[in-house]
Amino acid sequence: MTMSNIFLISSTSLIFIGLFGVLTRKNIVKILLSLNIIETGINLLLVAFGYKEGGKVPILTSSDSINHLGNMVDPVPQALVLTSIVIGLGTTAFALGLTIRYYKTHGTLNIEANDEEEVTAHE
Amino acid sequence: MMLLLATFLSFVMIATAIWVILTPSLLKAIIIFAIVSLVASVSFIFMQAPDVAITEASIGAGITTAIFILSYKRVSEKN
Amino acid sequence: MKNDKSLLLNILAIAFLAVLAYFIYSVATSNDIGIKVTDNNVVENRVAYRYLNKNVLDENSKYEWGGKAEDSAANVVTSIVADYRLFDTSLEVIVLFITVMGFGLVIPKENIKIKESTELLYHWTPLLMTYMLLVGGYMFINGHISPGGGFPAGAIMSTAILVGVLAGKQTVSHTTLKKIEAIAGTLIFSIATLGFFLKGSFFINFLEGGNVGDLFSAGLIPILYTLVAFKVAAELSGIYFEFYEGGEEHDNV
Repeated sequence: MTMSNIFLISSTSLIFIGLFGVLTRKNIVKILLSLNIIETGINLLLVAFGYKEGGKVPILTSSDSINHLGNMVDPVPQALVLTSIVIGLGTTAFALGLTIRYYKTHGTLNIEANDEEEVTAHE
Repeated sequence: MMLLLATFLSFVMIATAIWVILTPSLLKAIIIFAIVSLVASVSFIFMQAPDVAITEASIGAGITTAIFILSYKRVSEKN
Repeated sequence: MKNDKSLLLNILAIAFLAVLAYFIYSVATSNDIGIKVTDNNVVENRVAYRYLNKNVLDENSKYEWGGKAEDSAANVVTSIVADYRLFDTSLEVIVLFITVMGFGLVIPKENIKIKESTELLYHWTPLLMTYMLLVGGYMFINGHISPGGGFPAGAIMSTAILVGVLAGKQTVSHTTLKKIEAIAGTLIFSIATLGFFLKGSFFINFLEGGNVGDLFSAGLIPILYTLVAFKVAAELSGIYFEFYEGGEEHDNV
């Protein structure tokens, strides 16, 4: 059992815990929290793919570190994850705005409570 | 030693994620989600990614929780 | 009756997802035919090696500590985000702008009073805000030689404004934030166009870079990170103001 195995296991299980929440919960805010858990898991998975055993931080700190560039971890997934976290915040804010609008029009946060009222209202 | 600590952190992360899904209280779920993000940012440091760790700690654990709590207030105040 | 059915569905969902998770994990670590993620993760075999050596375009650039290179930022992640893949980053800032604008369009406008803050929060807010702004400023100025950068700096600065909103202090108005955001966004793309006219390529790093590891190095990266930090801070602070903004609503429902 190595370090990257541990991170692969924890990130895949985070993704599937979040997927379970999205599939089974009935509250909209709970579903958004599950989506955020999926996002955290996918960020961990991407960074774990770039990790290698005994790797170093991809920052030059001394004149010696330039001779050991092959020891550094992969910096490209880190750069991708850096932008993906910020976009995740933007989409979460937009989804919360839609949630507040839904609550104002329907009066509830449950996704299946109001089906019958909808039908009678239209008839 | 580092391996043990990483295993412990992964265990805490998975346990709190399950807690977020299963707890009936919304406010509790939001606060516990902040713990998931915080532990994830420590895991990023274990994977030698300090840039991502700082971003996750400030955005994932800080601002996301703040926006969720502001929306929760907005949603629950009429009851 | 209904509870039994939903319990059965939950157990089925858990079993299905567990099988799927095990499949993905076994594919990621297998040595047979597959996507082979972890068994050949030598950096030399990847695109990242060219980024680490920093000779993507210029074959003659010699990369050494204290010397001049094609891109003289000591932090490799920063030089990918803010130089080699800057086009990606700028479009990402536009995506953030569009989502925040959509949030302001969608959220119902109501007049909500902010709860009166306690004495302790009210009097300690200026000190807290000063330290938060200092940390944010340090982060975007030093983004090319230490961990940090424009996005976390903008997030920390917007957290300072959030503390001001919660304490009920008058810090900045919403229109000022919109002006800051517009000016920063315009400057980013005018610098990009300037690079096109000077060196013939959009978003090229046309300033002379200093020595690797110095504060004044890496050419355009600190300037662009400053602009990105102010734009992100203004956008994220706009979200908090939208929550408390009242006004007329024109619904066609």
